[in-house]
Amino acid sequence: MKDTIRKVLGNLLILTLFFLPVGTFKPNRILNGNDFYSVNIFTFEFFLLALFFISYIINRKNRFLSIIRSLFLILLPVYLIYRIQAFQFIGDYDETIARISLHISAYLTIMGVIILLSTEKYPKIKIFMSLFLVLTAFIFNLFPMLGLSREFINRRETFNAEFFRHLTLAISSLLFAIIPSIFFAYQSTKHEKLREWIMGFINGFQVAPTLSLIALIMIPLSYLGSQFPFLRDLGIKGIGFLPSFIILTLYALLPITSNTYTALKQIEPSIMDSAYALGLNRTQIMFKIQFPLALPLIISGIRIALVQSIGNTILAGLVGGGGLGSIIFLGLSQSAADLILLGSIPVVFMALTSDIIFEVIEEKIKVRMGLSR
Amino acid sequence: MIQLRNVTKKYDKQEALRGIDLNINEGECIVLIGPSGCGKSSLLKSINRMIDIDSGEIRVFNQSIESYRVEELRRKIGYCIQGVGLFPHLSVKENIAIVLRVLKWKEEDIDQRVNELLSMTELPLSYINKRPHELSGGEAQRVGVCRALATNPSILLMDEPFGALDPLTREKVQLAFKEIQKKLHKTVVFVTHDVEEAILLADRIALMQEGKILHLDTPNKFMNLDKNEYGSDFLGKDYSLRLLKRFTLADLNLKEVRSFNSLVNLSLGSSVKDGLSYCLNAEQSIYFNDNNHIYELSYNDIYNFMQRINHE
Repeated sequence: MKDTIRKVLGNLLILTLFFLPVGTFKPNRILNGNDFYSVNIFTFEFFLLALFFISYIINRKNRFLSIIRSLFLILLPVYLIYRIQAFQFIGDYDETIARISLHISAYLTIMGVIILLSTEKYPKIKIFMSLFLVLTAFIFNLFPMLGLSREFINRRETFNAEFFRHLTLAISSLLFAIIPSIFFAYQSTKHEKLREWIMGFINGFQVAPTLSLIALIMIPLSYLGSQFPFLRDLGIKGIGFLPSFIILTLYALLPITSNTYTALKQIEPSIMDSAYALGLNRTQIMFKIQFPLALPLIISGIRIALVQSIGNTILAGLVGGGGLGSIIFLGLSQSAADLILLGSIPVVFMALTSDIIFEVIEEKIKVRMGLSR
Repeated sequence: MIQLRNVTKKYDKQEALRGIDLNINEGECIVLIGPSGCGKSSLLKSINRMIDIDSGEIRVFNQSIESYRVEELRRKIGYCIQGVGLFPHLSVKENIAIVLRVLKWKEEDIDQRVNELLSMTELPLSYINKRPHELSGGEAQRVGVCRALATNPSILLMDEPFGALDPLTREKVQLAFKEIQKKLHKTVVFVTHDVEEAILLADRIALMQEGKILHLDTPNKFMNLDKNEYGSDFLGKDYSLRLLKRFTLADLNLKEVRSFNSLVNLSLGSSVKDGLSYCLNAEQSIYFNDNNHIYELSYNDIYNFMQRINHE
């Protein structure tokens, strides 16, 4: 039932290709663009699209059909973007600064593709493949006319630096959260009162809006920095790397702590009983029994924290912490949609990639420990 | 081997143990039996300090259990529980060897010990790499016994170890355990609420109620217990019938005969209860073949036997 709704919605989104503009041609960055429609760029493709819709209408469970359809969906975004940016505008323009941007129906189509892929088998890998193809084409400069490419080429240096800064911020803050989280969770299983305190504290951070927290932490940090110059030299000041790093670490605590706590609590009492009765001491039980059994859930907590961290790192752009957020906010301030995309697409890609990698690790561990097949 | 002197234990308001005195001899199997909440599990767990008693004294190997380091005490005492508590992330071998590894045994010694234990409990040696979830209930229970015996403790505590098994498997595992016990002569304290299990395995049965031992004796003696109303209630009015399961036809000293009408499917190894069951279907005596000897069995044989053990 839920699948049917998703299928209808996905198809409707792709259907917008027929009546909403797919792209905009701009003679330069500032001027308003001229919208164009799919009839301007498609010919035989309409035939393929029609076949595609028909395949959903007849709705047969057929493996061959499903493979063809998945393939079509995976290839659609990269092909669509390629054709849009290859649009030939008739008139006078300077080829070095003219650009083409995607328009509403192109975005809706890509959204539809992702929704439809999510109803197929192995959705995550297929969505990943589709985005990966777009990204590869982008990297090999197959979309030279695309506004996004123009923006990228113009600021390749900044982009690379911000990309790695983003990754560093997200991963380092996560790494700093892992050990305390596991420690908190382990202590929580032993003292109920402590658990309430710890969980209240950590939940507090999660509920408060990230931005306000960053603002709050800026005050004491900038005070410290201004009072003690040597701290300022160490990088302790109200803006920059440190406040973002602290906030991201605090945010990463919750998923890891709560997952570890659940995992440790889930261990059957008979297992713990027999471990004690065999004459193992607390440390031995911790390392030989509790943590190995909790590991898959701990990893899944780290996965959630990392994905969340990659998204939250965008806000570091606001306080001079750098990262892809700074590109996004620059784009927002100039209302340059292409610049916003240049910042946000890699974030999505990063989050998706790390999610898939960790899922594989989790499954590997489970199989190795004989907890699943 | 194990002495308990005036042991008491209270949980909040409820008294679990109210002055227990118990002497357990070396090599005997004591079965603690009673309804739920009678304190039998608490008594068992107090021996290896899984729970700490409030007052009284427990001595193991003629030394108060307080004088041992708790891990050391527990390694001297094997412990099996219902649901086995095998570690799901470890193989059968790692499960059995976990304490041996802590004690830093050599790898070849561990291999040898694990093989020894597996063959004793009649598990195939190929099982060492299996995971607990690949075992049947009975197999898992045997692995649990192996793990409890790994350090070769002379005391074994068993807390309803066969409670979760289906009746058929349970009987098999019980008999297997009896065989092992015949060979090893461990001092066993066994908790159950299954009267038949108690009769089958016990050297002595301790019948408990509300934190006290009501009656402590060999299974045979419980036959005359009807004066004590509670005891006979719990053990069942058919106690004598259940008791028959403890003995085999070989215990009856049956006559060998030459002439017979027809044979039934029994042997000297069959339980007296099975023999009685066949008798119920026959007008007079029944005959069976064991190793090319023919034996005769009648009600009288069983009656006489019961009289004998009653007066022993």
